[in-house]
Amino acid sequence: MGAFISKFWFMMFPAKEYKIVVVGLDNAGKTTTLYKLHLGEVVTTHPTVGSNVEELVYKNIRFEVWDLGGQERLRTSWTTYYRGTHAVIVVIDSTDRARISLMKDELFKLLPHEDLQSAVVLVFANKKDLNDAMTPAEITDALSLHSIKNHDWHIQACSALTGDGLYDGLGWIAQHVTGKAPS
Amino acid sequence: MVNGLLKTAQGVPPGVATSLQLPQDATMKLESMKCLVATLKSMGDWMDKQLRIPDPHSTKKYKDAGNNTEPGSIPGDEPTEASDTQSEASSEVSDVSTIGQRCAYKLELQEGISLFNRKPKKGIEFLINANKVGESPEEIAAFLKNASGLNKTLIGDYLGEREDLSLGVMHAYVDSFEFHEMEFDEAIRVFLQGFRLPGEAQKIDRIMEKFAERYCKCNPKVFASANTAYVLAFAVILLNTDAHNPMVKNKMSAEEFIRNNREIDDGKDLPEEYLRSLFERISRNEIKMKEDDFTIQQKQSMNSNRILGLDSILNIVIRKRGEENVETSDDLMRHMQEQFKEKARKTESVYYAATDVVILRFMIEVCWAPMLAAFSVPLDQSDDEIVIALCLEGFRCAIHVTSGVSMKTHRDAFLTSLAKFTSLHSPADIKQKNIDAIKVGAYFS
Repeated sequence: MGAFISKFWFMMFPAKEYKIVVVGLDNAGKTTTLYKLHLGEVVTTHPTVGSNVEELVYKNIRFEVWDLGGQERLRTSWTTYYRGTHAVIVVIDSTDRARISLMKDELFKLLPHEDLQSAVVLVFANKKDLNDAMTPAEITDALSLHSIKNHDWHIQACSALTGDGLYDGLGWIAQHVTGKAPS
Repeated sequence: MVNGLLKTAQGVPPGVATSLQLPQDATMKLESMKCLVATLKSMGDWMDKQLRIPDPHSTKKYKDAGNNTEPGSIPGDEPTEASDTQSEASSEVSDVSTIGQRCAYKLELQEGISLFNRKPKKGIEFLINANKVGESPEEIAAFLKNASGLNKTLIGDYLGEREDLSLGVMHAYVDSFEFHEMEFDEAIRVFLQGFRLPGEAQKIDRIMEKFAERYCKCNPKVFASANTAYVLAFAVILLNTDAHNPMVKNKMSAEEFIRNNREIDDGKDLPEEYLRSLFERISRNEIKMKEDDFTIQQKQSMNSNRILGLDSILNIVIRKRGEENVETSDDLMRHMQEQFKEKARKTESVYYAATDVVILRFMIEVCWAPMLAAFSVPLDQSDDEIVIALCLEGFRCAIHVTSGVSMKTHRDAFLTSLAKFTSLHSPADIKQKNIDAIKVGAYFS
């Protein structure tokens, strides 16, 4: 009976769809994060030549997740990549103290983009279980997340390798995008 | 003998195609079985002769005979092949040690390639240490571009790495392309044939940036700067993703694409016409690698090595038996045939005339496992008398040859599986085929 109702529910209210872009430096763990979030078999018999794009379904919400990197040099044509984006996931290597300020610069160049005005920002502090990992508080400071005024943001420590923390982060996104109009 | 083997390997595809056109799987299976048995048999005969009378002249005579009979077992084989083998056979410049060395070389190369297909960096390291590939980025790049059997996804991963050596190799790889007077998207298509572009943003970024630089060097007048080409190249890759990745639900329109690429030419717009036709070409004709249509499995069996030509046939035989409801797509077959022809063209230089029994060992080393599989699977599944007879004949020849050159392990492998088919331990199941198997077993004991 419960199954029937839920099936009926899905028929009446089909999954909503939101677009997420994943940004972050080399080796931060973007790809691992993406494929860890993607439940079930990754079907890669004929992968399309191009960027990694995966579809995630979480709590009846469908996410289209693009691995876009966020290279500053491509800024001139960022519109191509960020149109219709509901959430930005920033993946940080918590052990990479040397390059965190670089990521901060990229983040603050990215956020003012007109296509990202209504996007929420989730920071995944990846590799949290490694010895010399920075704490979320340290990363919050290093990225000066508190100075972000126009976007909802959240930081979540995680391990893309084990999947620990990833769904907590996605849950946060789900809560914060559902108020907005899906694409 | 190697001639014989290779010829057989290459000779089958024409037969394959003809029998498929009148969709007769069975015929094809049978033909390839026959062909295998013939190969083994001639190996055995030749070995016998060699062991008794080690006289080069008789060898030669036999070889000629062998060459004539073997292709004969395959309908539609071109007579030219036989004649060119003969001329080569008569040149008598063969030498066991050369072949031995060559074999060792091939084996090591193969090992390096399969290591590369698991761990690209380690594979390259191994190949450099084993002197199979030069140390310079140019030489490595040439290897990645030309060697067969490398996994294209992993070539892409390797080229996208951030390390110094990989970066150097990637640059050399890109610089080896000539894009002169090519349309931008055409150049991208040509460029992305040889490897799978990784999906990670930074890797795409590094590779396409270098591509853009190279394109602009070859075509200095097209864009205001290399930066333009770089942004546009990235935009094209994303357009390809957007238009052809099934995960993407809302597709970009031509107008959006044009709008998105405003002011990328050093602050100026590229001509709208140009962008629009670019958009049309990409969205109508997906950028993909040549072999995208084929499963990885087949790719591997196809590419591996010259020797594996024979393997591939064996694979077909096995696969056919395995899946009863084979929907053998004609396309696939045609493609395999093309591959074989290509291979035949590439491997012209590797024929040797055999003079010593030792060479047999190398040959058996290479092909015994798939042969074993090819004989035992049908033996197990089929009830057709002809097929069974063929399989058993195959077993008989294989055991004969392997014991003749004293390859114990291999002989035992054949013997054991033969013994299994006698089903002596479960008399209830005994059928005619089992009895036949026993007969063959008895012949050897």
